[in-house]
Amino acid sequence: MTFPDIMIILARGAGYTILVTIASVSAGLAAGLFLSVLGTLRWKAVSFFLGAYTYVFRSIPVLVLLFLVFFGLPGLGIRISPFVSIVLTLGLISGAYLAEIFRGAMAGVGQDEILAAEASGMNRMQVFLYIIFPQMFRMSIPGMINEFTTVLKYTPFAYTVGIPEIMKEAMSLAVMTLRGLEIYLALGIIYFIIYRLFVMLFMTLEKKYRIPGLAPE
Amino acid sequence: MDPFINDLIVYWPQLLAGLERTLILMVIVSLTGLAGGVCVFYLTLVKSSILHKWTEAYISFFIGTPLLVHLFLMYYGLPQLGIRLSALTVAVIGFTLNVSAYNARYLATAYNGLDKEELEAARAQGFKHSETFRLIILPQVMRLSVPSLTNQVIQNLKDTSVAFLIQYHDLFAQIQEIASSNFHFFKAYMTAALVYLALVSIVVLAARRFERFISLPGFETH
Repeated sequence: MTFPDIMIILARGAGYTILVTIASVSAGLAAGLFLSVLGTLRWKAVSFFLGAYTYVFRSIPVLVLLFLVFFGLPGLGIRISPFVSIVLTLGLISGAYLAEIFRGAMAGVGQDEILAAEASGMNRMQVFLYIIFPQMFRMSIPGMINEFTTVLKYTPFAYTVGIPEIMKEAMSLAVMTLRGLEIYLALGIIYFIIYRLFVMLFMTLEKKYRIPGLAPE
Repeated sequence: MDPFINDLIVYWPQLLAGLERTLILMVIVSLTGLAGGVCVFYLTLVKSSILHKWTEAYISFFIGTPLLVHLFLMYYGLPQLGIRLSALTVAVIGFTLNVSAYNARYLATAYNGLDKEELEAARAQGFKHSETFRLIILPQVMRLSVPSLTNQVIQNLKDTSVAFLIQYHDLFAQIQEIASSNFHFFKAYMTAALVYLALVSIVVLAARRFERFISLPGFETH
């Protein structure tokens, strides 16, 4: 078995890794957006909840939360599939980070623009959809790429709950062939390729929707 | 008394030993990662284009690939060449390579925001490259990067839990063991979560104090 053979065998498992990454980032984006929109309400109880949420989920290690969800919750009678467990775990954690990124980007939207929109008769929903969101989203792109990378790099933990993604494939291949060195090296290269492909995709999207003069630093 | 609390008391010495290993790993890799980060950052400033490319590739590779893969590569891959390293050694090397890449990135970002005229002035005064780096660039860049660097320490603390997957008997590994002996999984992992929350809180408080301590008026970082 040559090195390219190993790469090909592992690359077949990459689908699961990409699926877990995309599902987790989508969950994180939904959570982050929801939380940052809640934050604009400026209600005391809500702000306290948001602060606590981000603090807790930015402090607990991914592996601990994953084990709590997958092995711990059944003790309370809640049984969750491995896939949902990893997506929930990474979604909750990246949601906390993304909420912070969105909050920062939202603060960068000009107050006079919002005022002008309100003056021309837009309601709160319209202001958010047409004025705040398009700008905030563009400004958040560098932060989102970072968060995406972080999620991708945490997906190997999925093997601990039995999801057949590339880490698990690599481990069983290493046990069978006893050639861990080449296999884990190939694994690193595959992760790097996935990472580069996604970064390139984001960059292309960002260029396509860029507004001159409104590029994030 | 709750049987789980009872177990915690019975296993107390083990838990403490695990906590100690977690903290040791965090402290070592935070220090080596900082030193490594400064070295890698220095290499990014070198004019030689080949070296520059390699340094960029290094940073990009370690930021783009999972730490767990590097740990497995060394722990399960190297024995193939007859090199057997202990879990702690593997963890220290793997974390250091990773954390150095991140720290170098933070320092480079801070460097980009620096007033380049100062560097020209230093060169005009006859400062050598190494002197400009040591006396002009590094002090400013380090100060500007303190929030990112302390965040990295928090990240290191959380990531030490990964080392349990290569048989390093850290805090999480010990809690794991208690859980698999008494089957109170939820309580065990909840305890782990709370302990990490407490540890992170301590580091956060220390980091804020440190940031205040080194802040210079007019050089506030955000």
